[in-house]
Parts: sequence; C-alpha cells; structure tokens
Amino acid sequence: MNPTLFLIFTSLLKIVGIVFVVILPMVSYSVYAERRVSALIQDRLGPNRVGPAGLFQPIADAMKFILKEDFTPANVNKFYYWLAPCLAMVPALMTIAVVPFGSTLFGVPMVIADINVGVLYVFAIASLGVYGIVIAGWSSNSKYPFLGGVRSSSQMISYELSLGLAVIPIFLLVGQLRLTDIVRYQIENGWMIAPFVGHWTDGWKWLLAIPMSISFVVFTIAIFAETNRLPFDLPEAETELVGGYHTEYGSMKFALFFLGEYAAMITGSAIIVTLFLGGWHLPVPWWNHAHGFHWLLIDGSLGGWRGVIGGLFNIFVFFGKVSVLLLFFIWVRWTLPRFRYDQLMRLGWVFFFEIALVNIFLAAIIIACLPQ
Amino acid sequence: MIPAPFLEIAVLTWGLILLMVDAFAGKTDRRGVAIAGILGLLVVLAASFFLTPPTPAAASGFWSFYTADPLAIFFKRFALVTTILVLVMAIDYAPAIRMGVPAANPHAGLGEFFTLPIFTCVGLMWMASAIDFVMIFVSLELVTMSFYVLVSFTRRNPATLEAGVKYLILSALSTGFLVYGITWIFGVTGETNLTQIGTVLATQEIDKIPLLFGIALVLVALGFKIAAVPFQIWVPDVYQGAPTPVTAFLSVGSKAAGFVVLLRVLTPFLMLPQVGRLLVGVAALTLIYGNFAALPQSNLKRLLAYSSIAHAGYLLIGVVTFSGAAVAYYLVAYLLMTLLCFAVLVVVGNSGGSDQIEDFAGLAKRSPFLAFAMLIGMISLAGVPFTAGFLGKFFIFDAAIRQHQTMLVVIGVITVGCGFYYYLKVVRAMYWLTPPADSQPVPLSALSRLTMTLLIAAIFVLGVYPQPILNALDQPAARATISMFR
Amino acid sequence: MIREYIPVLLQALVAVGFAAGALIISVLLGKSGLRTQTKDSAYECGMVPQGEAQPRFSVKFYLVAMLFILFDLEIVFMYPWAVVYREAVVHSHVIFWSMLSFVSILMVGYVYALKKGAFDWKK
Repeated sequence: MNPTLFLIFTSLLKIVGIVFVVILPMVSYSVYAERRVSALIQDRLGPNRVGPAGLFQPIADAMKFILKEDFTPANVNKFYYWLAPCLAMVPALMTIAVVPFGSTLFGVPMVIADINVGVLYVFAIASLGVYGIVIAGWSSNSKYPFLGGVRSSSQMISYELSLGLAVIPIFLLVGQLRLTDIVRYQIENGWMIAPFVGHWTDGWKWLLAIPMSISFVVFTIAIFAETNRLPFDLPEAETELVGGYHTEYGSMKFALFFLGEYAAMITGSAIIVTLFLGGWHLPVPWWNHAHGFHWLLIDGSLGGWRGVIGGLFNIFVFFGKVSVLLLFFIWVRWTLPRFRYDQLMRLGWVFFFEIALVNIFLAAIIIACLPQ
Repeated sequence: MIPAPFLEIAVLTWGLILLMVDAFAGKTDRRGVAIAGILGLLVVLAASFFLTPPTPAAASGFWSFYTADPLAIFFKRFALVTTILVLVMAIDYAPAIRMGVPAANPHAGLGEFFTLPIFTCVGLMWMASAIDFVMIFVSLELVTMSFYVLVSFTRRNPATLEAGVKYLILSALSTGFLVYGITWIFGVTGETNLTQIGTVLATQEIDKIPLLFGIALVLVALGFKIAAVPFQIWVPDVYQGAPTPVTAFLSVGSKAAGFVVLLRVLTPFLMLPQVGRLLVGVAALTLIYGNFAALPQSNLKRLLAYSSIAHAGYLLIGVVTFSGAAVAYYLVAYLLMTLLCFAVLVVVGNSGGSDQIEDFAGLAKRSPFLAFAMLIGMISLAGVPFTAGFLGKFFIFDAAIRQHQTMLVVIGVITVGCGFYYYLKVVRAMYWLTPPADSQPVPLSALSRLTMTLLIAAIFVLGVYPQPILNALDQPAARATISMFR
Repeated sequence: MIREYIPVLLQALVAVGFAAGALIISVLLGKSGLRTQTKDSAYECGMVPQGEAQPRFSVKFYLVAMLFILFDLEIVFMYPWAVVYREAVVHSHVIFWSMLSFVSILMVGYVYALKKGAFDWKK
C-alpha cells in the first residue's frame, strides 16, 4: 500500500477512534461522574433514574440538547455568536492529536501526529481556546457574558505563563519537544516526578525530584486555571455572573461549550500524564526463573496476540491515569472555595510566575551537575 | 582601556538600577535619582575618552552590527552630554511634573521622568554605532518608545495628551515606513548591513526602481525623525505640548540621532544621483518653511519648534554636500544654544506658568542672568559672529559652495536674515519691554546657574575655536575644513 | 516533514466537522418556539436590561494583556535554549549565565511592574 495512503488511513482510524470512541464518551461520562461524585461528597444521590444507576443519563442529556429550541437572541452579533461554541470545542479536540496515548498496536504507533514540536503545538492550539470564550462574551451583547469573557481572557493568559514556564525543566532534562521522546525518556529514566527511579544511588537525581515536583504542581494548578475549573471558575462563577460567558447560549451551542470544557479537562489531564506521569508506561512486577523478580515493560512491540494485548494494555493504562486525574479534578471542585479575582491574579502573576522561573534555574543547575 | 560596547551596557545597567531604586523608594524625594543619573552619565562620558581602538567591521557577528568609529564615539558623547543637560533641566521641571501626573503619592512618576531619558540615551548611543538596518531599527525603536512615554508624561494637561497622541501615531507611522523601506532594500540587495549593501550596489547590476522606492521610504521615516518638510507636521504641536525638558531632548537628541543615521544610511547610496536631488529639494523646502512659519509665532516653545525645523534645513545642506564634520559641528552648536534656550524657558516657565513670548517682557530687569543666557542662545541661533551658531552655518555654507550647491546657499542666506527677525523678537521682549507691575525675580538653582554658565562659555569658546570638535572627527573632510579655516 | 502534519490536518477537519455537525443537527431537530421581544432581550435575571450592554472595564485588563505579551515572548525564547541546554552546558557554562542575565533584565521590568502595583487588583 502507498505509504501516504496508509498514513491517512491509519490516522483517520486513530482520529475517529480517539474522538468518537474514547474522548466524547469520556466527556459524557465525566459529566455523569461529576454529578455522581458531587452527590457522594455532598451526601446526596445524584442522577440515578435513567438506566441502571443512572448510567444512561448522558445519552438522555445529549438527546435533550439536540431537541431543545435552537434560539439566537436578536441583539447578538450572529456570526461570532455561532462561531464561539465551535472555537471552544475545536482546540480541545485538536490538542489530543500529538499526545501519545499508547505504544503501538499492530505496529502502528498510538499517536495521531508525532510532530517534533509537540509541546509547542499543544500550547499553540490550547491557547486558541480563549478565543471561544472571549468571542462568546463579546458577541452576546449582554453584561454577564461580557464580564465573564473579559475575566476569562485575563485569567487564561495569566496562567498560560506559568504553564509555559513549568514545562521548561522537562526540556532541559530531555532536550526534546516531541512528546513521544519525552515518554520514551521517562520509561528509561523514571517518570518526571520520580527521576531517581533506576538511579537509586545518584544524589543529583534525587535532588532533581525537587524542581520536577514543583513543575508538576505548578503545571497541574495552571491546567485547573486554564480549563476554568473550580477554584478558578471565575469566568462563569454562577453566584455572581449567572453563567458567565455562556449565559445567552442554549441548546447545542451551550452543549458545545460544556463539552469543550470537559474535553479541555481531559486533554489537559492527558498532557499532565504524558509530561509528568510516564504517559502510557506502567511497570509491572514480574517473576520468572531466568531473571528472578524484576519489573516488566509491557508494550506493543511483541509479535502476535501478545503485542496486541500489550498495546491495548498501554492504551488502557494511559486512559486509566487520565481518569484518575479527572476524579482528582472533581474532588478538588468540592473541596476548595472559589478565589477572589485579586487573589487569582496575584497567585498567577506573583506566586506561580516567580516560583516557576526560579525553578527553571534550579533545574538548570542540577542538570548541569548530572553525570552524562 | 574599555571596549566601546561597554559604554552602552554601563548606561543601561545604571538606568535599570535607578529604575529599581525608584520602584523601592516609596515616598522619598526622587531628585536623588536624577543626581545619581547625572553622575553616572558623567562617569560614562569620562570613560568614553579611554576606549580601546575600534575593532574593524566584520562580515558577520557583533561587529557587523556595531561600529566604534570616530563618528560613533563622537555622537555617543553627544548623546551623553545632551542627556545630562536634559536631566539637569528635568530637576528644575519637577514641580510641573508633580502637578501634571494624577497620583496620590506626590513623587509618583518623577522616578520614571528621570530614568527614561537614560534609556533614551542608550538608544541614541546604539544608534550612533549602528551600521546594520536591523540595529538601526531596534535602537530607533528604543528611543522612540521612551519618547512616547516622555512626551505624554504630564497627562493631566490636555495639550500634553494631544502632543502624546500625535507623536505616537505619526511616529508609529514613520516606523512603518522605515521597516517597509528596509524590506524593499533587503529585497533588492539581499543585505541589511550598510557596508555590504554598498558592495552589492557597486559590484552587481540591480534594478534601480525598487531600490529607489525603498530608499525613499527610509528617507521619509528619517524625515519624520529630523523634522524635515514635508514630514514636519507633528513638530509644532508636539514640541509645544510636551514637557519642556522632553521638548529639548526631542529637538536635540532625537534630531542628532536622525542625522547620524541619515549620514550612515546615505553612504552606500551616494552613487545614485536621484537621492542627491531628492535631498536638495527637501533641504530647500525645509529651510523656507521652517523660517517663514516661525515669523508670526508668539509662543516661545512653538517658535523653537519652527526654529528646529529651520535648523534641520541647514543640517540637510550639510548632508547633501556630505560633509560629516560640518554636520557634526553644527549639531554641537545646535545642542549648546537650543538647550540653553530651553533651560531658561524651563526656569521662567516654572515661575510664570506659561511659554508665551510676552511673559518674557522685561526679563532683563527681573533676572538679568537669565535674560543674558537667553540673549546668547538667541543670537547664536540667529547666527551672530563669534558664536558657535555662526561658525556652524559658515561651515555648512562653505561646504555647499565647494559642492556648487549655489541655490541652497542663496536660500540659506535669505532665511538666515529671516531668522534674525524672529529670534530678536524674543530679545526685544526681554530688553525693551517693561515687565508687568507684580513681577518677581525668577528663582534659579545653583546647578542650573552652573550649567547655563558652562553652556554660554561653550558657545563663545567654540565660536572662535572650533578645532576640538573638528579634531574629534578625524576624517579627511574634517581635515580639509580645518585647513581651509586656517 | 510535512507528512507529519497530515494527521493534524485530518484531526482539525474531524474536530470542525463534529462541531459544525452538532450545530446543524440541533438546528434541524430542535423545536422552534415563539419569538417575543422579552425573549430576544439580554438576560439580566429577569429584569429589563439596564445601561450599556458592554460597560467600560478596568484598565488593568489591558495592562495584563500587555505584560502577557512581554513575558510570553520571554518564555518562547527560553524553549530553544532549554532544548539545547543539556548538550551545551557540558562544553561551557556560558549558556547558563547568558539565559540568567537575559531573564534578570526582564525581571527588572517585572519587579518594576510589581512595585508599581500592576498585579494588585485590590486598588
């Protein structure tokens, strides 16, 4: 088969599989999980009527969104009013393209586009997400959305700085922007939050864990702010802005904002997993007569059904890690109160920015001392 | 022995340190920042006399962007002296700044008003050394950006705001012209380095039309900076509205930098006769417009604005005849007399509150020293013999006659006569008119008195003994002029 | 090189297709209701909308936008530095000090903005 045709064919398969089989159902069920977990935390029941334990609730929600009246208020700017929901959804789905969500399956690498500027691509596309919110706030021609849009643009660009700074220690260490290489490095040298794995006696590697952990924390919190999750949900702060930037939206247009936000959350978690938590890698403890007790690397490189099982296992591990992070997102939502706006800006610009910047030079010094 | 690039680094670092001092100073008096700035610049000025011999221009790397030839060193000192004098003026101007900046803290804004000229100075110094279009552009931007802030500094004053907006828009426009012109020149020659552009022009057969278009665009941009007609429209309003020390800085520093860049940029394009003809036309227009428009002015700042356009005309004659030494000498003379006038204007304006010529009525009786200083400034600007202004015009006309630019010389001489009328209008107000009944003597600080005395002395000394300036530019043209003068 | 971006393009097409498709399906299947003047007006918790729809807002938002551009550029400069750092630092420590001096110059601007209250939203 022509290699280009083969590439297009497999890419399409991967894209359709990831978007429609994994991400979108995951989005729907994270909404469901959010409601169930919230209920659990608040000692309520949550949605439990549609299907067994309310499991069909997302499907019912989707049907409802589709069948609702598609209403466009008279005083909005029509073109941008319609464009905004798409702009909120598209970047979230596009970012996932460079994230390696598995090793290989049938010899095909489990990443949609393995480009050499992976992380730059992530930042470039993810920062487009702010346009959807700003345009929604502006085109609605109404006070609450406008305030939500202005707040959100300011918040998202502020935390983008910390986000951009927090990943630099990783590049210092790996010397690559390609995400598959970063995962490969973590498999060989231990995950980013535990760079001492396999080099147990090297003191510098233990020291390296300090800047890496700081990076991890800053990055994770910045992702919270970027996805407008509590405690950083000021753009939509229900109690003060009704719904924020999407107050004037209904039916499927609102649903796209809603789904886009959850999709961004999933993508953000996927990036965290890839950069800091070893991507699709999970060492399995193993014992056999030849080597005794050791850690086994499972991936799709073996032939036959073993390779297929390995590849599927990696994909499963990757999305398992993502799911754990999603649960963490939900948990935080019901643990922390919302920030005041001045606290939010201060935290982003003064605290995180400085910490992330100092952290880079800390990491640079330690890496300069590492044995080659 | 100090390498030349260290001068700029020192000034920049000192500016940054002062900015930090200002940021952490709280509610203390900010005049210490200005004094520290003046002292720092004096040290750098002294250091500029102990430079290592310049590294020859290289084909790539740092020395393809930066040169430390005598012209560059000369204009670096020029920028330093200008900035020092402007800072002295700024200290006197501090009360007006306090009134003009809306803030709870009375010292807010003063720190920036004293540190921004230092950053402008770095830009001017880099511009003097720039031999690559990229470097020229970047240093020009540093200068212009600092001026955006400085011009609109006293933002409670509507005239200042108007000046700030006009300067911002027109300056940004001219920057656009500059970049576009550079793009065309780069497109034709494939180089941004001026020396290499010259080589390409001399050795290769290239399309002249797009090249001339590019040069014309660059000249338009530089025309904005030096206030040449027809790009002078911003000058009167901006000069009148801006805080007086900034006006002085704008008329001396910005203009001098524009001329040094003009001299450098034109070097590779000399073999194109069209460029010369274009410049002759611009010079003639500038001379006529600047001098005749100055005649009816009743506001001294506005008068000095038109006078600044007129002097750009004389300087352009020097550029047309390509006598770098004459231009340099004229710029030094222009620095001395203009800054002297502005220094008096700041002091008198602070006590009287306005810049109208009628406010100078009877100044000779109220403050004889200030009136005398203004008198010297004005007669030097007009070009009375034994002042630096006279010799400046003399060198320029001399160069023009030897290049057979008779038309320019005729226009120049006529307009000089014109200049006598409007400059002496100020002298007449000071010495012949009676002061208002309730007028008080104008208070004058010791620092300003010292500065003004030095400026007056320099005007007379350079008016009879120009060799120090001409020697500083050790170039064939300079030597020729000196031999002629003997 | 350019081949690597074919999947990105496909992904973009699928994402846009999904968003557009969802909107079109909703338009086709959604019920249409009455339009009234009240329904068309901006939502302000059921009250009649008052004043300008897009009121003036704090100048601080502009300030944040400008500072963002400044520091985001700084970060972009750090990426190529970070990528080559580990190989280059073996030969010479200059690469560390050059970035440190670059950042310290920018930090002067940052400290200045901080002390002037650019990040203090309480004022």
